[in-house]
Amino acid sequence: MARVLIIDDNEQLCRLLFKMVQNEGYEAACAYTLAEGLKQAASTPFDVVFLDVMLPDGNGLDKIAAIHNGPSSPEVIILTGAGTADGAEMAIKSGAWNYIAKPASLNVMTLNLLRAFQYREEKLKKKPPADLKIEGIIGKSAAMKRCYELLAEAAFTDANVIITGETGTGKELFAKAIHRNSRRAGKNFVVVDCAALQDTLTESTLFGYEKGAFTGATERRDGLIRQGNGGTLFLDEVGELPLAIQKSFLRVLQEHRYRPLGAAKEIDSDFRLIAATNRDLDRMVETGLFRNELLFRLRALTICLPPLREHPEDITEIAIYHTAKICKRSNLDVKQLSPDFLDAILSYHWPGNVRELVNALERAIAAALSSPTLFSKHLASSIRVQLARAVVDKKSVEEAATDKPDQQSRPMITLKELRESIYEKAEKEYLRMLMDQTKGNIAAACKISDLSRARLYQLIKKHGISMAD
Amino acid sequence: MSVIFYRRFENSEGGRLEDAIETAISKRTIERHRSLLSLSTRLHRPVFDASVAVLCAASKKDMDGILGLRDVLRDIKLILVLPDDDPETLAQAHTLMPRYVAWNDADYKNVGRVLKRLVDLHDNAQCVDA
Repeated sequence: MARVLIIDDNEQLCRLLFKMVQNEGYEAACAYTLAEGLKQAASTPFDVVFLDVMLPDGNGLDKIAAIHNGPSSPEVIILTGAGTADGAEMAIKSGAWNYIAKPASLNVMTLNLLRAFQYREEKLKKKPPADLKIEGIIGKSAAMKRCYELLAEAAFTDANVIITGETGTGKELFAKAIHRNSRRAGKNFVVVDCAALQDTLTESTLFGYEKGAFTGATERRDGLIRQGNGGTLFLDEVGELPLAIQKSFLRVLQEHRYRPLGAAKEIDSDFRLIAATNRDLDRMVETGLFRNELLFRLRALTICLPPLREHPEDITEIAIYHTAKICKRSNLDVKQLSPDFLDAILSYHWPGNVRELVNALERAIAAALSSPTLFSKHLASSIRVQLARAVVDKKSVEEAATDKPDQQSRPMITLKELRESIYEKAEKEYLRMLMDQTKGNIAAACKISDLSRARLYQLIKKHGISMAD
Repeated sequence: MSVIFYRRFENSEGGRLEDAIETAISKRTIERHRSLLSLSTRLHRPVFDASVAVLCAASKKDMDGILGLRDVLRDIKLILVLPDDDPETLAQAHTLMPRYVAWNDADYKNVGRVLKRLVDLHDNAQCVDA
């Protein structure tokens, strides 16, 4: 029987959901704290988890990945009274199945549960990610597992796919993997580098041309769209596609027919489209730099690749894989990674993501020459400098923190008390500055502060300010 | 960053291509390779300082030789110059995932333009990483 876990500190809501889940024919369990919920999710294979955000012992949004890492990688439905747009976005980006703002009717919650079950059932029927050919893509983190699920879904269908993610996250590798796992694997995988081509060149390269269509067209040539016939067309950096070409390409995407430059007749091309970008296409649509209709067409399926800093648990495996690959290519014995080297690469934030890590490994291997082990000393100085700075900055922050009372253990005060204490501090600071500026001249201080002499003396006494201050 | 350039000794058409490349990236180092052995030796060394390559296949046989280096070409942005536009040659070319394809009888100005753009993009990416 399918199982549902409800993690919420509101016992009444838990009971209500518990009953609803049972009425739908599923097994239910409740947890009133995050720790208890995580324990249950790690030990029992649940299919769906209702997860509250503001729990007594932590924020549910921070633990979506941990729940996905459970034995059954359940679908997570976020359920919260503290609904914010940022929270909703974070929930979805973290892989939550949906986000429900409380109060919500029981019908809404039931509908979400049933849809989550339907989605899960269909997902499990598809090609299991374990069978995927994902050569060169490394990582077993929850973030990467979600991407593999989407990769499998994309390979299973013929829908357009858009792959987003920061530079160096592996968008091209994912595009190629979708192609290799799809029914089109035996045909061409054609790369269109929209960033490398310029306006007129994009048009002739994409659509092809007849002999004499323009100066320099000495021969008839098939364009990349035709070369992708039967296979996959990969529009890399699609955000760079010129607006005029976006319009023509939109028509090709709708009809799979187009006219090469200088040709009298239209021709067909049965291609599957995968696009990739590191740009915010929604923002580009708002500013008129990208056509909304094209974005709509591209988004049949979206795969958002996480930056490396969001799945640091994969760094060691990536480093081991690529070190072996680079050493093999260079005809070297595979180098070992010393603990200090691993510490260094695990501490660095990798703004250039996996690509930057691979480049760093390549440099380190070159720097190590015949040494059988890589040490942090072999990393580029730019990386070591940043790591050293981070250590010093962290130490300064820790020292500053020890000078302050422990925020957690300090008893909470009322808002009124907080306001009064801030007011008192500000008042004292003002009087100090006033007496300092007027060099203790009461007449001048009264004039500046617009206080009566009696009131000023009263405040000086209250705050214990010396006239010499 | 330098650019890897391959054309065989006997490929006379490649001279025009070389001129176009030199004009496009006049301030860059061009690592010239005139045999597959030389190219292969280079590609088996670290390529972080040469992540763009222009490979000119003079014939189908030459193309086969380039295809044999597929494993070591994966991390490099490629511009391929092909000997012909047979569907088979094109299909082989696409397995290397080139960023731009031209032909031996082409006006190589576009190769120069795309190469310059790829080099500039590489430099920008390095700045972001740093």
